[in-house]
Amino acid sequence: MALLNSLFALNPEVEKLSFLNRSNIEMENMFFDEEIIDLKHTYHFTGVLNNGKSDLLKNHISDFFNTSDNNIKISAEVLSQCYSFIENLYPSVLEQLEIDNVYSTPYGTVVFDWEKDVDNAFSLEIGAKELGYFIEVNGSDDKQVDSLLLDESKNELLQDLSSFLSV
Amino acid sequence: MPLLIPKEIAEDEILVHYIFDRNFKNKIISDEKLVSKDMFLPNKGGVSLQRNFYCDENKCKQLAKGVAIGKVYIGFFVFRKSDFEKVKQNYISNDRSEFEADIVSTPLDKDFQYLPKETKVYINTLGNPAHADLVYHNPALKADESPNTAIRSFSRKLSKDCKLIIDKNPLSVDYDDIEFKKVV
Repeated sequence: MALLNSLFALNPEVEKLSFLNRSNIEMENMFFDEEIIDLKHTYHFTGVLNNGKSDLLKNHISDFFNTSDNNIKISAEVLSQCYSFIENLYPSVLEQLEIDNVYSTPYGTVVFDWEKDVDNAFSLEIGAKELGYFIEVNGSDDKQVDSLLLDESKNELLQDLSSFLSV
Repeated sequence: MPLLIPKEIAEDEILVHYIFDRNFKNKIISDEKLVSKDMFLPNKGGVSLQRNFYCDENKCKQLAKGVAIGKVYIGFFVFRKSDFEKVKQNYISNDRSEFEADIVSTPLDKDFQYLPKETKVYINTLGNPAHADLVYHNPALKADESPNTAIRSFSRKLSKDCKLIIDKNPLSVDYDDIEFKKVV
């Protein structure tokens, strides 16, 4: 039993369950302890994973900025809009995006496609000042957004994206 | 007397779009890796097409290789005018009631410049007499670096009704793969 308890102690989720049996004062202290455990383990660990994916994505997009091919080249402004968008994404949303499904257009924008299959996709386009997207469900568009100002529309976009991915 | 190329594009005409290595994700040439979604995004003017009734497979290949500067010729994306009309009607009914796009004859001279609209062209006219453009009228392409949601969504839907032909002998001068009319 002692061995089992010490094993559980390594897992913050199990630690949390055992709070139910403690007094309030003890619990306050334990929340503080849990915070430290999480900072050392869980937070740090997921942080490393997410940085990996967002760095990969940023590298991929920076290729469109650095290329000399005018058919796929993007400006510094579009590049920085993409970077700030990526930094706003939930880790789980980022994980469901295939790097291959991010590409630039002949007119200098960048497209991000979250594609479940050929008939179900969330397709976002980021330009210098505006974004636009459509949500295709079973081959037809549930929603088309022509253009929104990037700085003012993040919440609506992120909500739509999360609900599409969780369906 | 050489054959006159009609201005009007008939319903059963086969339209051809060149495919290059850059149309594939990471330039890996396979059906799955084709970035078909952006196949019909316009450059300035429109999306360039060839009219197969007046431009056979050999000529299409010759022209495609002629414009393959800084990119590699892979093959073609083909569809009938009637496929385009069907996709457009469905798009207007299901996705976007206000939408106008058309495929129009736009013959080019030997310097790849547009010929005046009224010019009569024949199958042997110098330049590219069987050239056509897919043109988006409403909404039209916006200024650079702005999103074009309606056009992108239509492009995605049209690409699902097209057939991809990856040329088995891309280096040969003549085209000896499957005839376009056998796939669409």
